[in-house]
Amino acid sequence: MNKKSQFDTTKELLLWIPRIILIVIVVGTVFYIVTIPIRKNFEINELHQNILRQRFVYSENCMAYKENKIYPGIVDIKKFEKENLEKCFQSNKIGVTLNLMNNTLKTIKINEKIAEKDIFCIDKKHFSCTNYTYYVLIKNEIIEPGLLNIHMVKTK
Amino acid sequence: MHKANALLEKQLIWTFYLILAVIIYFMLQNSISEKSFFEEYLVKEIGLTIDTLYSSPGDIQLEFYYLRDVNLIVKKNNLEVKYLTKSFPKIYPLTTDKNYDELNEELRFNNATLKITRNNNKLIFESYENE
Repeated sequence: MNKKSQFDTTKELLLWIPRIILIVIVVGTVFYIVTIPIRKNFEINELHQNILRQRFVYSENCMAYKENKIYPGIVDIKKFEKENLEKCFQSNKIGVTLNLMNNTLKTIKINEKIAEKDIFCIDKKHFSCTNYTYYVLIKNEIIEPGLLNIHMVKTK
Repeated sequence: MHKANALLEKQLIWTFYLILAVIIYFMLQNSISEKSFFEEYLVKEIGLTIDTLYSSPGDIQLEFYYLRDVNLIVKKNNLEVKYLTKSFPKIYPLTTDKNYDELNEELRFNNATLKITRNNNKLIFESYENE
């Protein structure tokens, strides 16, 4: 192999680098465009968070008051503890801020690292957030009305 | 000699393009096929159901009929659904409740029904063949 042909081969090899990059970009774009309708059809973030949110109010392991039977919608103040709520809600992708209000305001954060990222909720591509307030009854010494605000931050 | 090299190079390039086209075709077919669509649907449907069962204030039993050629794995915090003919499963990250027994199930459905029972902080997965 003479010097000229060696140079040609090297040049050709170097030309392959941008070609391969371009091919990867084109393939990626085509794949992304074709799969857009499929991904859109299966967007379940809001439904998912709606279902998970109800766990706090309906499940006896979370906050629902129990005496002989379970009373969904009545919050047992003794169960409104960080340790208990972290046990009944195990997720690596969702952070939750719970605010329980009657005369005083109590706040608990589950998965604090994600829950505190709520300022990024404007980034719809990477985060999905919901905020909902329930009218609840709070069982302390007596049963009194109150509000339970649940703010969820989910990383996509 | 130089001409022969150029010809060989051209042949290699065209072979590469051909292989690439075949790979893209199969990738697209794999991701937009009916099976893939159903797999995606099924993993989300069962995943959301399991998440709902954790919220249930009482015992409950649910059934999914006529599951064909599907493999279902519930392990740690993930639900995996895979068609027997496919290589990679679809994954749904579950939001579990630590008061429940840890999930560890692997079920295979040829033409069967999936029965999920929530019973006293326990989720039980069963499959039985359709008649």
